[in-house]
Amino acid sequence: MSEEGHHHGTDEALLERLSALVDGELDVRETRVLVARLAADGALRARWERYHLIGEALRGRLPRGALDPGLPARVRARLPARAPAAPAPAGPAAGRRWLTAGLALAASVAAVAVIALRGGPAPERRAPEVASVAVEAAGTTRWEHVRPAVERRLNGYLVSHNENARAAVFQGVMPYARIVAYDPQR
Amino acid sequence: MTRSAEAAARWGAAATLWMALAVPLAWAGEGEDPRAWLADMSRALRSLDYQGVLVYLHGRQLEAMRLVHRAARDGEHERIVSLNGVPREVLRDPQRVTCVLPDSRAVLVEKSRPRRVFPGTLPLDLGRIERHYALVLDGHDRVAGRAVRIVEVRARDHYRYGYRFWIDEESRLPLKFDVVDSAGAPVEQMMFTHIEIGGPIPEALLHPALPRAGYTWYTEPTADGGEALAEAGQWTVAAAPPGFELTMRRVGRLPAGRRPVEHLMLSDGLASVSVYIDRPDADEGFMEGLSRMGAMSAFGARVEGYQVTAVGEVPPVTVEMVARSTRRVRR
Repeated sequence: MSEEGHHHGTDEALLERLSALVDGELDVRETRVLVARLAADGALRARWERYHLIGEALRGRLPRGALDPGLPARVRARLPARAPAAPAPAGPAAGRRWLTAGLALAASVAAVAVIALRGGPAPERRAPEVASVAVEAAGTTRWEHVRPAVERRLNGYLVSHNENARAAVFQGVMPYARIVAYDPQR
Repeated sequence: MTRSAEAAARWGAAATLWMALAVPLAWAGEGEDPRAWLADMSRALRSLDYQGVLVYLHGRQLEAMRLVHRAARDGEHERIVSLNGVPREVLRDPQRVTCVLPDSRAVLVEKSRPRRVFPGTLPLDLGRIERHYALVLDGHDRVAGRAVRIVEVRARDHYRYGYRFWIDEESRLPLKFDVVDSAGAPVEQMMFTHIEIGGPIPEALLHPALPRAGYTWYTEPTADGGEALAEAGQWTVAAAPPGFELTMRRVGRLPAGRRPVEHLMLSDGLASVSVYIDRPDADEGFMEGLSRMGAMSAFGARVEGYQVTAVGEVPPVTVEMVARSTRRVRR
């Protein structure tokens, strides 16, 4: 397993398993093995993240509020340099909704799964868990903390600002992506 | 994935055609100058035909949208449609920008203005930009299967955001772009998960898909917008963050706005902040304090009975400083 890691996970069988993981088709044991692999291999993890984005985007069924883009980076920072070959079973994570790997993937096909460690300092040789983060969203694509009337006013300002700020070159390379993304249902 | 294969095949044909036509677009950034890469990128965004799926991430939100861009003789034509959630849609042409918002059964129409090209029209602009940002050519990478060059625009202080662009080596379009804070952490990210470059873009792709019957239209009134504020030009920003200078002052009506407002704009050469001075109706109410949407920040303050709102793709500290230091100078 560790030898394959040197190839940055580019061999075909591995990519097939990765694809199966993305599609939720791996069993719990295989998932654990592959997740340990992902934890140790940055290139493989990047590819796995990309598979999710591309697949979901093309299918036009990206989940609402389900991916924290900062999370993979945060997890990466806390992961041990190498994941243990035989991951220890994860204990209960009090106050968290992290589910174990197979369960999370089976339970939530539409949810984008991210690798997550429990909060607090990561214990030695702790295996990462796959977490479904289809939980309440912290971020928002609507103006925060304002009443609907104020929100309408802010949107008017935003459109006006976008057009006038086009002189500012990079001001929103795609300034209207935000308006399109804006969702009052949240 | 069949779509990608199709797209790749079409791209092959389109690329050949496009390369043949691209002689006047010979890229400046063959070497190692980040300025040239940025100039090429801003020109490519404006002058190429492209369409694709764009993913927008911020906080825990992830949204996908379809983008179609056509560079026509009369200017840019663009359409962005949300692929998940409420099917919002924005259409731009050289005359107007139209936002169709099904959730509020509203259509906002504003006069459009042409996109400016980096580094700006004045030779002075680049020097001004580099006082506040470091332009850095970074490594090579791959996005959506294509070779890209990473170019960073690093903010030199915490009053502005920086940018990170993954620029397609062939077309010079940014395939991925992040807005980052002064510590380098992403504030929001956009990425093409799929892109087709090269035309022609059929006219039909630029037509709105949404039925617009039963919608309320909010359009910017023509000419002066009726009873323009008699006391125009009576506001100023007393203490803007370093580098931000007043670049525009106007009085006008906004889409969806029932009254004329005074609008000031400040810029450091890249980032900009708008200040709107308004008198909200009793039922609308005031906004005091901070609100954010992605990399956009807005800060409201009440000044002499007026609503002052600073809005921009800048950190909260910047809009707060601008809003709090906006003063009435003439009465």
